[in-house]
Amino acid sequence: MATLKDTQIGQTVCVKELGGDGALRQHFLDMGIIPGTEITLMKYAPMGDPIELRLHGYELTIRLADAEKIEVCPVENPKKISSEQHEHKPLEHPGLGEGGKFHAKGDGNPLPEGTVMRFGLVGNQNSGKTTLFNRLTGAKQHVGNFPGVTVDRKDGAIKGHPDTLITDLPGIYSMSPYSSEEIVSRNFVLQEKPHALINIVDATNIERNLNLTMQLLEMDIPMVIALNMMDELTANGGSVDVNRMEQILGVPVVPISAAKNEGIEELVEHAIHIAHYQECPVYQDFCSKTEHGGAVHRCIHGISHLIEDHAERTNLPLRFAAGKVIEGDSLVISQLALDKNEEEAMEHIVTQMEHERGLDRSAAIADMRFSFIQKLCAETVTKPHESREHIRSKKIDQILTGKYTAIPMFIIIMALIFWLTFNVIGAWLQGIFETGIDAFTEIVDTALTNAQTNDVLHGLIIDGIFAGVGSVLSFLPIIVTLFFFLSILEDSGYIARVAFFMDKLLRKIGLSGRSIVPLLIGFGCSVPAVMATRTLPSERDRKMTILLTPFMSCTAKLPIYAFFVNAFFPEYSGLIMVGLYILGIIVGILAACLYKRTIFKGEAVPFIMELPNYRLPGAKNVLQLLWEKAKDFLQRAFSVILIATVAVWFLQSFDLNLNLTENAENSILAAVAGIFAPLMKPVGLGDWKILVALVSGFMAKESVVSTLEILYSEDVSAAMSSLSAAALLVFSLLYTPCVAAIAAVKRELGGRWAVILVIWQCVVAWIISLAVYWIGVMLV
Amino acid sequence: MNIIDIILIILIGIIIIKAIFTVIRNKKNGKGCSCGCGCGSCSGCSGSDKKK
Repeated sequence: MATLKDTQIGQTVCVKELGGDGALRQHFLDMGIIPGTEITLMKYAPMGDPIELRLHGYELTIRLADAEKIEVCPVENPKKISSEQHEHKPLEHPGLGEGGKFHAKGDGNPLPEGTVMRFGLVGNQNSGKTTLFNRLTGAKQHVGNFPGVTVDRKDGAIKGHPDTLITDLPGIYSMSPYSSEEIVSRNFVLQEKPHALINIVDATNIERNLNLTMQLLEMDIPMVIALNMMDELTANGGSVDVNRMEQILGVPVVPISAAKNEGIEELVEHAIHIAHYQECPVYQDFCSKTEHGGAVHRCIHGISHLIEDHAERTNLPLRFAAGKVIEGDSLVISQLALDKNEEEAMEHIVTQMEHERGLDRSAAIADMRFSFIQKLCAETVTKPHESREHIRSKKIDQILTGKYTAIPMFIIIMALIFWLTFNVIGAWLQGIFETGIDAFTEIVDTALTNAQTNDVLHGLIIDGIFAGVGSVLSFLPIIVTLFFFLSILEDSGYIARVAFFMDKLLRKIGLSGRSIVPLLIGFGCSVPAVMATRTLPSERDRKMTILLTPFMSCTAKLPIYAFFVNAFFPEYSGLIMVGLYILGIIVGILAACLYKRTIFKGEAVPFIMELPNYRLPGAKNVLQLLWEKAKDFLQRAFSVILIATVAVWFLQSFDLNLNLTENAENSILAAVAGIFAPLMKPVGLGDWKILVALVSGFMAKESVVSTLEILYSEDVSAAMSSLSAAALLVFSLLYTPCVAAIAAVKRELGGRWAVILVIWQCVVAWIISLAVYWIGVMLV
Repeated sequence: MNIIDIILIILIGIIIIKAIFTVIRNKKNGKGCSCGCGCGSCSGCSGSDKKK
């Protein structure tokens, strides 16, 4: 029997049977790979695996090993996308969610006055939820162009409606969660019982998006459908008969464009109306009584009657519970607490349905939903011709994911980013900043001298605060520049492609292609990188990726590199900077190989990812992100780093008897740090001042530079050798991440793993620095 | 110690106290932003992950 693996590029096949089992199989079904679906093989990844497929009008990537589980048969005449306009009699607007439909205007059974109406914003990944959330609330959440940008819920009130609370949820493909961040969304809908749902549907990819809609309708919660990206659909010749769709689905349908701020007011009006009057979906029963002998229909209704009392007791929506019981959702089944007889009866009903329908239980339910969706779309949707965005994406992908060009282009893009950051734009801006800060320090210094201020106070301001905070501030341009390029990668849709063509390579070290997203974000900051691992569907992959994130050098370490490189190796600055990044990656790869053979044995989870079209990053979005990052950096400089610099200045200016000391060797800091300094002696970093700087770096990496600036009031290059500087650079690259990153790890994996990570990173850093130092000693 | 010294001591004192309060506030609010964007409304920023 032929499988999807045997398909040729450009060939269209029809799914005959879907193999595999468990959550992965369910995920395939949720993505629309069900018997009868036509799939076209678009291309192979540059290394031959995974493959890119086109189905239901969107692109999906899966591995060959998974493609082998899908039995297919050839299709002689593939269905063509038709952009013919449907001829329908004009239909009166059903007026759902507008008052007067379920009750007379001003009548009905509204929520008590003063109730804060809670809304959930639910939809597929990359359907524009966060863009809509920002429009609705006026918030400035970060949006990106790859599936899974939002990994945590975010709350806000709808603008002009202080009595509302809307929650932006991570994207989900169905109510059967596949990855951990999807559980957040399912639990929100099931447990927090919002007053209404706003279901955002990507109109350009409507069939797969409506699969979730069908499941949300079963929740029996008031709901409004926001048909997003309607501007893109209509611009490419498509349209939706909104009135008819509203009539068939029994919930208000509002066409919008979140990006262009179109239709938002109408959406808000409908959402508030249905929530206020608790207008639930008119229909929940979409199974056909006649199709395939009505096997699925009879099964769903039979099970519904069987579990009705249990569903009521456990407060689960009946239709949802029935569907999940048939699919074999263990969480719902155990929650319902069915007795043995009921479980057996249920099993008999489902087995009979499988026998009559000729499909297994999960496939039969998925098929029922997609059959309804296809009929709905046939009646209401005029599909667009191939969109400009898709044609453009295909052209760009010929180079960026081409067989021979993908990897070289990735290397060129990354090299260009680092070169522009460190040698051109960032460095130039840093020079300007440094000159400004030095000039300002000079002015304040002269003013304090002229005002004959107290020497201790003078020292605190100039040698403490200005030297410490000022030295860190000058690195702001480099950090903002690197974030600028990383956000361009995120927003353009390229990052999803990197995951696609790096999958095979990453699998060799035990990871899946999806891990590349958090790892690339790790070059910016470890905190969002650790959070981004929530999109990974397996606990093993998540843990492993989190443990590897600290090896990706974050932007906060840049000041340390720049400081030492400028002081010791100015002629090789760019080379050493890039070298440090590469060293981090190499040590990370070695660590991954070690993890794969020891604590994380086994294979990475399957790679299933949607490839979005390339989009031009929005200037507002990019500027917003840069502003947030700059603000965050400035806040850290004037909080954590300021406190650290003042504390370091105090401890190195006073001795144990709290007398001012001219010689730092007699200070409190020297006395305490001196005890531990021998630990670092083998690495060439036996000076207590270095130990103090590294410890302060645990609070914030930038503190390393500010602390050294205070402690080495003379030229640092005179106080240590080039070899020690090299060892210090390597140690800074690899030792424990800052406290914010450790807190993020603790939140994700627990305290034990956080402590292990701190110790492990320090040990690795010590060993590698030792190697670097002694290799240097032998060579010099 | 002249009047400028006193003014400077008060000024630096205010700056340091403000910095300490910022650090404490961030720590109290779920140890910083859990989504990394400094948004002020995710579970990390609002501390709502304690409820979950």
